[in-house]
Amino acid sequence: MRNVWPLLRVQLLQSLRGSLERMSGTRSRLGILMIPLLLMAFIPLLTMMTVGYIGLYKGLELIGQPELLINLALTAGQVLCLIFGVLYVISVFYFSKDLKHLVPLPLRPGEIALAKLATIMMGEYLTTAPVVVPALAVYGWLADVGPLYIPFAVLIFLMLPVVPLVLSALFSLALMRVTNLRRNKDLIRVFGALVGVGMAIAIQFGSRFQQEGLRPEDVQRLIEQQQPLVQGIARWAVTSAWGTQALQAGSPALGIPSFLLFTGVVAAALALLVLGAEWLFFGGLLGGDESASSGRKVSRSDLTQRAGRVRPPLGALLLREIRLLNRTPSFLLSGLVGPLLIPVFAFIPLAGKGGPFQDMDFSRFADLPWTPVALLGILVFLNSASAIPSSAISREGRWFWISRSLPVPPRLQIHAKLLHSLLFSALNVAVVAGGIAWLGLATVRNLAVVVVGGLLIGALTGYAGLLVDVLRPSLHWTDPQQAMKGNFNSLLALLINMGVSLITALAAYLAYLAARSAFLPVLMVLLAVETWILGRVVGDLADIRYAQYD
Amino acid sequence: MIELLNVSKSYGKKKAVDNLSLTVRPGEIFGFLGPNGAGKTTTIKMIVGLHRPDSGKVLVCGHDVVTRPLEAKRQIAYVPDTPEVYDRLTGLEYLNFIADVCGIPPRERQERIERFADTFELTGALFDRIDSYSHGMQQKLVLVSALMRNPPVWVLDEPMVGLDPRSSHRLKELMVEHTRSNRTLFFSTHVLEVAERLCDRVAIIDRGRIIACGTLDELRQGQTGETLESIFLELTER
Repeated sequence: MRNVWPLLRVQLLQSLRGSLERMSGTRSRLGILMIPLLLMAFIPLLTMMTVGYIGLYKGLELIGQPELLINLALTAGQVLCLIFGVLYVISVFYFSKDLKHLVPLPLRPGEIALAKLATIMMGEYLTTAPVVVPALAVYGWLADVGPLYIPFAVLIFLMLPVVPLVLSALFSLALMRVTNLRRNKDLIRVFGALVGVGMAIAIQFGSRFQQEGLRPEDVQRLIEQQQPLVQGIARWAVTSAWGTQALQAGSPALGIPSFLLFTGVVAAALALLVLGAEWLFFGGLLGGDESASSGRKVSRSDLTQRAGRVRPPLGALLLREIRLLNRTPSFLLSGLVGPLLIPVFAFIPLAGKGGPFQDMDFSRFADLPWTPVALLGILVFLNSASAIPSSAISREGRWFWISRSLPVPPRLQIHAKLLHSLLFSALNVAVVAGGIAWLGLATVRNLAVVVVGGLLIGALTGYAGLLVDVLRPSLHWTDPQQAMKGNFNSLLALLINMGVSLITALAAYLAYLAARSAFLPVLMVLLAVETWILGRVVGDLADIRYAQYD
Repeated sequence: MIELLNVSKSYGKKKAVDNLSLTVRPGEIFGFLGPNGAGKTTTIKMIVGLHRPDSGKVLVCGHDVVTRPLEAKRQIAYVPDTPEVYDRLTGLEYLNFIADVCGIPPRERQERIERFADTFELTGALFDRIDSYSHGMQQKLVLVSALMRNPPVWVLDEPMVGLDPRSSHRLKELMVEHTRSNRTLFFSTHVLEVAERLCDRVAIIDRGRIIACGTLDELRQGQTGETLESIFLELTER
């Protein structure tokens, strides 16, 4: 295991530099200055989690078990790592570009596995932090904790992903050893994403039964009933219990044995990973990269016919965008999950059976003057959640040289990308139109606003996303997931869209005060003008920026 | 056809190309030689508009690649040193895409795709996705996409890398054929025998500067070596 440290160092450097580059959008060290801005986008989530944990702490305090808060957070963090870990582990263990360089080196499979696990953990900290850190902070702040609390809390947080990730890794090692999935990595991702979507929907349906808000009595009831699911998870995540005992208030000496137990389990898990990797890793890894051409006969007439189909440059550029996205499942799923999943999250709990609005008659709002504005607000939200425009250039990655050497203006390429993102906006329009029809809001006026305004908003938010991606494309990715999910341009585009929405809302309000009858047409014209201006700006910028990327 | 006037390019503090001037004439096969990291690819990328020079001018058929990029790009077919093309498309979809954005009329497109695909024995793979291609097949596809455009200037960066001997031979034939109609070929290579046999003139670049430029006879003057290899070694060892 003497090679672990140099390997780990290289992997961490590669992973950290890549993450920083993707977050800041630049190779310059000054790019680090962008990170606080991006982290600001997480403030609403962290605030929400902190407020929720404070309420939970108060509830648990009533029944004399406030430390259950830590248990819950540590367990939730580990479950998150376990769920998302399998796909992440498979992606890093089996599809990293550097494996073809590492495998021929005199390294043991266990050494490579340990180093790879470390890079996965770097990503998992971002996933678990919003769930675990607020709970640790709330408990440390409200409970009477000892001097060892902060060092133990930091170390436990850092070690937390190890056990679930090792379990994920062992499962993945076994799976890849006995199956031929390595040849179908996209299939794995699609399957994983579908499982994720399915679970999200299941949780949403499940949560409909608990829509009344969490009160102390509810917490007590939950604990007393000891639901089987909670019990099962708690039993499985035994390390959470030891972590909780190490951190809970009281004498510091009481926490040390539990902390040592926690650390011991982490060490044992790592040893198990090394053993598993030695036994299974290379067997599943080697020989999965080959592919063969179909070897089919190509007739002269078929070739002549298919080579003779001519499209105008804009059509050809649009078709390229469609094909490249549709044939890269992780791109396509990222594009579809927003329009399909957000309405599921929004409509089912709000308006479904058991929801707070279940008995509400929405049709009486159909003719109110602000209803179209609210619908446009929903469309702004749905379109802003799309990473399609804000990753349109980033997705080209190492193939971007082709776009840059084409004898067509970059602005034309940008407009093709916008048309492509409008296809997804049209999906949003269809979803909202279906939603308002379901709620009885589908008057001619509302439908016209949703269709016309929805497409204008799609173009406006599309150009906003493209603006960010033109300015800071993330082209140096090795895995398609990094181009969209690991691309922070969507967060920046969200901030721009918030700004544009505020300006538009203010202008709309002034228009309403000035001329109520012409309010909606004025709003549409306003959106069209904003779109035109932003489109011109992005086009001009693209003409400049395409020549500047080195 | 290609003019570089006092062109410089730096990456941070490192000067990749240093005050380079060069003229490539119509009908000429021009070889661009140099050790690894000498500035060959940077120079080529400036000619095709992928890199912007820090100073100086690059003209292609009289068009400045910085101020008139589209006009310049229309005159160039470029083959990069690594054949990176959209691996989710089929070979034919990629060729059609390039033909569409370059405005190649249908009849010429059909004729050229068939001709060059046959030349490089790629026809049978054109309906397959590019991610099933070998490195050499991807190189052939990039060559077909560049050659089918048939512009006056070909700029090829290490075009023989990855090609089998037959394809390499056919490419050399096409290179000679291209310049017969007063068109220009600019290419970089490490295979000095190829440069010696094909090129009308060569330039040797080292540490960003042209250290020799001319016909083989001109290069031999003042050197002890006879072959291009010995001249190259002599010049770049200084």
